[in-house]
Amino acid sequence: MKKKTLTAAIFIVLSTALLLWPMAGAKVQAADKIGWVGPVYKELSASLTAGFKAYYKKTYGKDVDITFVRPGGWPVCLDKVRAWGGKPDADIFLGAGAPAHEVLKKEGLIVPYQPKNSDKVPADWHGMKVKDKGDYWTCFAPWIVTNLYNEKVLKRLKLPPPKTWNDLLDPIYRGNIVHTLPYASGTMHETIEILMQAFGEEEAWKYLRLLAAQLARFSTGSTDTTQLVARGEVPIGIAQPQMNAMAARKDGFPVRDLLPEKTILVPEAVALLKGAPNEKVGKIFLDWLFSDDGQKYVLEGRYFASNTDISFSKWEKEGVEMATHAQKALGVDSFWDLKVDFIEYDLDLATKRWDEVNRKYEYEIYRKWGELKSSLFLIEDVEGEIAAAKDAKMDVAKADAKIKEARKLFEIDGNYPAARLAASKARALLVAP
Amino acid sequence: MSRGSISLAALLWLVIAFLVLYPLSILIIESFKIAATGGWGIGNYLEFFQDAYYLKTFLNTLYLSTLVLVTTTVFGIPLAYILARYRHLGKTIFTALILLPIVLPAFAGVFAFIIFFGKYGTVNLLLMDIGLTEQPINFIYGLHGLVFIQALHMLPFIVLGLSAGFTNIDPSFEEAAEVEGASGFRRFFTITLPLCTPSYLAGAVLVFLWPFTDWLTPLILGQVDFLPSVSYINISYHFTDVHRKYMGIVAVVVSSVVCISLFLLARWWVEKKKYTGLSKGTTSEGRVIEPSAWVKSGAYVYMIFIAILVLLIPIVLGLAAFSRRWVFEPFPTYWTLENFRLILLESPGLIKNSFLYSGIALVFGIAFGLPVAYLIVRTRVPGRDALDFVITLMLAFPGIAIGVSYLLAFWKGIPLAQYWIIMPIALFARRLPYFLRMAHSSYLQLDPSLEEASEVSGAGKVRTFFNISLPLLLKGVLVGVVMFFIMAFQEISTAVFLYKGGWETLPIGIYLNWHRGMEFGIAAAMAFLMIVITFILLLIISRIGGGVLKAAWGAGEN
Amino acid sequence: MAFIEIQSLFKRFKDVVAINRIEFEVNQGEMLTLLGPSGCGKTTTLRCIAGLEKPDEGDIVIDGKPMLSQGFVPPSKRGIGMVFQNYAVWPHMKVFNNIVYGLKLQKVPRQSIREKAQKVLELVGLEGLEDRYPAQLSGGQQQRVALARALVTNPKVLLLDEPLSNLDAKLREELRFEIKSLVRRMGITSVYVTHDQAEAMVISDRIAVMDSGNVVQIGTPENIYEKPANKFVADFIGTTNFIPGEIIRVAADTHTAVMRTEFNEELHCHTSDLTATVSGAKVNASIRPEDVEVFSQPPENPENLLKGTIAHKAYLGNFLYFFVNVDGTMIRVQVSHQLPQEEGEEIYLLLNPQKCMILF
Repeated sequence: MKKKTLTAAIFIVLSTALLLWPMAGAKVQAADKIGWVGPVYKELSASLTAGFKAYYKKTYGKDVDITFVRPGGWPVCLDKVRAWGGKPDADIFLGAGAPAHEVLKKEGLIVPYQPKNSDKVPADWHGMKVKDKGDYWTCFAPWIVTNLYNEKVLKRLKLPPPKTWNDLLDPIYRGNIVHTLPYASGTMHETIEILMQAFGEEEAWKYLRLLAAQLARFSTGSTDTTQLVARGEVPIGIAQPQMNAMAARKDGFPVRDLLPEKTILVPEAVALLKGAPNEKVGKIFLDWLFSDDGQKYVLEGRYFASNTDISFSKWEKEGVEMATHAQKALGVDSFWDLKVDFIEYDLDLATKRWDEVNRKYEYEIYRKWGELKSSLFLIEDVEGEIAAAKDAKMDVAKADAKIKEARKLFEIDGNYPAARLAASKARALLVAP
Repeated sequence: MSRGSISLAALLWLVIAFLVLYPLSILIIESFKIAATGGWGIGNYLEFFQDAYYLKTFLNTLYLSTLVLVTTTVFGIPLAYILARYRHLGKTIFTALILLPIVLPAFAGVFAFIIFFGKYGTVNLLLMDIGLTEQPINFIYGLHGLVFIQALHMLPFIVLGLSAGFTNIDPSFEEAAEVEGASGFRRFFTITLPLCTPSYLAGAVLVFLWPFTDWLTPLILGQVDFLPSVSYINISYHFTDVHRKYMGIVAVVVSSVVCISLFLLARWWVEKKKYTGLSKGTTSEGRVIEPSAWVKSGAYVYMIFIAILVLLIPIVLGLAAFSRRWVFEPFPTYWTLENFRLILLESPGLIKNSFLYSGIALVFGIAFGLPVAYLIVRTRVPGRDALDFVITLMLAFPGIAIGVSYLLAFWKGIPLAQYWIIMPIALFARRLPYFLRMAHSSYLQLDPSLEEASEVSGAGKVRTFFNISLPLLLKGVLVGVVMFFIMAFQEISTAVFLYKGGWETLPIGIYLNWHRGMEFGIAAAMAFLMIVITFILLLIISRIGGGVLKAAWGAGEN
Repeated sequence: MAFIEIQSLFKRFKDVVAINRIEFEVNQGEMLTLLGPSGCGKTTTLRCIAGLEKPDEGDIVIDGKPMLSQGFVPPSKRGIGMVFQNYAVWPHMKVFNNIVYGLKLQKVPRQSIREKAQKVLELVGLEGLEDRYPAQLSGGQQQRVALARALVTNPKVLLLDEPLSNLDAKLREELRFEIKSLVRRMGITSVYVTHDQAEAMVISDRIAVMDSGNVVQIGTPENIYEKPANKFVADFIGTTNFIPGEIIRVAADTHTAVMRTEFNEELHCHTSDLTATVSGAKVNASIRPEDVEVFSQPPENPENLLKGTIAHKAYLGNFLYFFVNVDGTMIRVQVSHQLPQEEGEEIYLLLNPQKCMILF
């Protein structure tokens, strides 16, 4: 009986405590609030949270409650803000490159604000925009679109690191590449945009189709790509922010980044949302973010700091742990010292076709991935057979013409069933011309 | 049929209407909205079944379900037979181990097996190190891996159902067949197995429905062309492409319809074929066989094999939790508590949220479940069967459907989803059947005359409940409570649609850390923490009432 | 002096009528037994009196207060004590707490609770067991706890629902008398439900025999045994022989009738219902085995004399039991003296016309 009474008592106490817990929590909440939404990585949000809390407490003698939501990559975050429809559940759009911010600006979802010290961020760099002229958005953590590979795994597979975009199409890499979908990751979106602007649209889509056939799988986001490469599950990852290699190396993963021959700068930027419920605290945060203190927390969050007057070596002496890694990863003392060559990037065009590109990739490549592969593999087989027949001095003119048609149907039209049909016709023509 | 119980029934119906019927009807309504015109129609459904992509995902899911069911059945039949019929050492331990996946979070298995069976996981590295293979073997990426992981997670449902069946069959049925001259195998396939079908089927339905619910495993394995994953991506990666959202909702509704119909079909079939009712006077232990030494050692090998697979989950996660930088090594070399430090330092809120939400859900569960159990068992209020039916149906609903419908229903009109209370409410609604079953069965065992004696002695109904019913139900209820808590604690399918910044629970934290960050050490540590908490809770259960898993699942199934 | 009045009580469960407008009264201080086979409605009637079931129609008046017609009085307010078939002793409470539960609810002062509990424990013979849990008691002891619990509040009415059916035969017999004397000493008006006619005979002041939701006969045990109202009662109470036949003559003044049966032309019988006893009616004559006289040779007076063959003969110690075949009809006979005839031999049966009753 005593045992039972005891159990009952414990049960009642526990359930009462559970009921009262939230009330107790509510009483303490006299702190100021701020909300961030955006695609920045966990390490950065954690670092900025710690830094801004300390700063706020020191400066205003009050606590600040920070909520950070990361629904996904840039496009997902952008779509989240759109869905809020001017009544955002956050104050700051934290992260994402220029096109995402341009879309927000065009749709009137962010408002201009010029943070203190933001004049230390250059307006342009090698032809790339770093901040908005109207102060809608400002870059706080620049980086370059890169690819990533796992050196240990490639060595084991006896494969050289792929240097150029075209290297990636080499059959030796088939099944060893991973990337995500442009709607899940802004970096992937920008990669497609790079290809489209550097090689022309037709050539770019052809390339993307061929690349898709090389993939081991699709990942669900750029960080998913990073972890797959870092752990060696797939050795090569496409469309990665430059600092991912640095962050992964710091965690002990044998990865290196690959700067492809055609790439762009991504000015990871920050903006004040229209209708922000805590606008005042939001502005305080923006001012702090571009201060020396804030920039250090950016670097500690494993992103490169954006102010021009900083130097990694100086910070290293001040005890900023990541400064060493950043210097090692970039080989220079400040991000802006990098010697790079970017493609000519049309931001307006990129902004305009933002949704369209994402959609086209998904519907024409991703959703038909199975068909795409089986179609291309058949074409390649038949091409091999034709080449062999040619060597055997057979008449392959008709088959050759047909297989070329199949290639065109595949690469240019993206009509995989038709391409497959044409390829099997070519095979038939090879046997009975 | 007093006025009191009628108004109680009305109140409970109100809760059900608000938390189940209303959101689900909103879900169905939304699926008929046409994005392009803003009107209504069946266009989305037509598109779903005409669009090659959606049709493919639908058929893929059916195919996966079939494969998982076949796999679990093929592996489950011998296992259940061994557990139920053979006299062997360590029966309790093996039973506990094999049933363990029920209480382990589904995603824990995926993570552990990726670490262990991945391209450069422990097994592949060992194989390559000893020179057996040159290239890593693809153990888990692909359909086969998906089937393996889902089947291992669902195996207990088949084993529980079947072994309950094997135990409960009146031995005389089999003895009669033996006398008639049916040999071992023949007897097994013509008498024993058919007699077990009702109890098998109850578990089989849950197994078949799992691929319609589990969006996370396919996503992590890079196999996304399955209904729940597509619904998840359509709904939580896109917020303004309304058409895509509606198509996601259609996918959710289609999944739900499939699940519910299969569930009902199985129930109807089981009702029709209740063979168990024929038998009487069974011994509690059923038929126990002393097999030959060969068979026995084979049985041991088989059980140990499955037990090891199950045990790998906590072990691998434990190794990962206490180490960092575990890559390209078969076993970790750098041991640290860093992961736990980071959890406590960076996100103590996750643990707090998990306990808080599950705890509140639990309080709701008790406050709702006990009166419902009372109404169903003790009164003749009209509509009580329907109440039972609706709540039981929640078992079959994919978690995704509840998450999405809550998101739709409680965003604008009734803006409940803007407050954190939505999290415990959703957990409560999703996991209610688990508690109700426990409360229900313990109520059934409580002799009504005990309560009547109290009423005659001068106590009112309420006082009787607290003085007599509650203390006597306590054991069963506590077991139900802990089960409910465990299930709520590891819930992710519903919560992932509803959480906002600051509301993350442990499972969501695991998902985010693994999948959207690079911290598999932290994810593993969180998963390990969850397993430890679950273990402690299970220990409490088994202290309160032994054979709990059976009580909670096996008995209720038929 | 009616203390409990049952007024055209009616109750149905879905399609089954459990009680069909029954009426009876229980007098102050009387022990009335509801007797009948399972499913006859006796337990439902008792539960209606307790307030555990709500009848669809009718009223129950206890001590002048209607329980239904002026608003439903819940069981807790009826001032009754009840003993359940399976004791319903609360397993999570000690014997003492079980017993004083009702007193505590009545806010009786602690000292008085102690005294009352002590008294009732003595009464049922459970002194010294008050600190035990029910699981540590035997079935008989548990039943005593249940009885003590029902009596301790000094209820106006005591209801007993087959209280002895879960006990073994010997204990059952013992407790019958104990309960009877206890209740009689305390003078509580009681209603007792059982399906065991022997128990009913022992314990009751009056018996109400129920069948299919109706009360078919109320009376003292003797009355019911000797003058059963119909075939059902005669069959249910004790053992009897039924001889089917057709009435050919009625003598109203002497309450006798003559009927024709399959094996003799004239069987003289007693009848109590003169209105139904008319010539040509198909009826049954009932005679109990102990009322049949047996002769080796036909006696002088040939009225109601039958000749048959012994089909079975059984020696039961204090008496002999025969199955006698009379032209295909089996008649059971019980004789208290020895008879030399063996199975297969002929024998003469004399059916005492006064004990041979016409029933419908």
